[in-house]
Amino acid sequence: MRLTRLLIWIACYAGLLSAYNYGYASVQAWLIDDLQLRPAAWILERLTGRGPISVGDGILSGPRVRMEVRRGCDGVEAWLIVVSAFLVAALPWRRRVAGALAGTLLIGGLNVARLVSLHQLALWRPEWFDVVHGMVWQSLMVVAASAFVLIWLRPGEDA
Amino acid sequence: MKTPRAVAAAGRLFLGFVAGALIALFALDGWLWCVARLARSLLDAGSWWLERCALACAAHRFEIAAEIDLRMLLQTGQPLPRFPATWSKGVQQAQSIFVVSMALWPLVRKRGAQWIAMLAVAVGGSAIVAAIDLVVEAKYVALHFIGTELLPARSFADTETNVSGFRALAREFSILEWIKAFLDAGGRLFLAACLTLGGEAVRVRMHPSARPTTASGPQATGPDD
Repeated sequence: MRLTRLLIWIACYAGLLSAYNYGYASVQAWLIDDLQLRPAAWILERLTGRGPISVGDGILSGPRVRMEVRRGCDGVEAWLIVVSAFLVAALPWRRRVAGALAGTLLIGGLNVARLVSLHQLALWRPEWFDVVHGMVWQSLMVVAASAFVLIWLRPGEDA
Repeated sequence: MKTPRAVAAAGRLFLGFVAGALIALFALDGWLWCVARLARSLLDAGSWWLERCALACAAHRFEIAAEIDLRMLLQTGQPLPRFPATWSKGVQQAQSIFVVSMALWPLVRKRGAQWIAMLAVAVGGSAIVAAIDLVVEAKYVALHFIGTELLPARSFADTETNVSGFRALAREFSILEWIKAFLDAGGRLFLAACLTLGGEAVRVRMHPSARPTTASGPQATGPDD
């Protein structure tokens, strides 16, 4: 990875993140509630057989657990790693679009899995919640996004 | 993309992640100590209004103690006294930074001794990011306290020193606010990832004595990657 492109990637990421912070209030409803919390609630209702699990204002409320998804815990930082990388990548545009879409699905799926697992952890192993939420999942999301970008950008090289 | 190579990369990533997480949970004291020392140096060097900074890591928490000395004059003509300040923060964010670096290090495209050397880049780079993150948050909390509790409770003399001091504090706070928002929204882990992967951008040239003397042999030129 060239140093110049890495620096451009960092600058692009910083710009996108700033734009997200600035416009957070206007995208929170559909980005958090509709794209993440509703699928997580659907999975939890079928997984646990308990319900209903309500969603609104970034909050997932079940019969015994109430979880609020705050900025920084919404998977957007990992998603922006993917988007910014494919914005600056030296690839044909079709491959960039395909990479960005595949990365979006990966990050979206991982984040829904994060929400479901943390909900269950809060129910059954609350003493593990802080470590899994603060360290394991936070780093796993960024690692998955970075690794996806790296592997996608190296199609014919040794892994 | 060749699937076996992608699978091998994913496997190395997973092993790096597991190793990093285990180290972070059970054997990170030395690294945390380095982060605390580095953060203390940054605080000493970068804060004119903080004196006698002490920063340590104990029981999975960073503990900071300092004195806030704004060097301003009160309306009574007396100098504003120094105020002791303490602050405590858990190490989980620092642990996350370390884990990200360890997970991505196996993917750095170097060979042999250079690949091992990139481990130092990953460990050192993650310590730098963690120290900067700690300093930003500590200064943000301190400036927020100064702006909302310390200053409003007192009357100050109308002097040029006071006015320029207020302006400097306000300017510093708005810069820190932006940096903190970036770090909190995911920037700290992204920077850790970039510093680790940036090791690929470090190129080492082959030693000149390795070049052959005959014209028919291959020319040993270009970066050793």
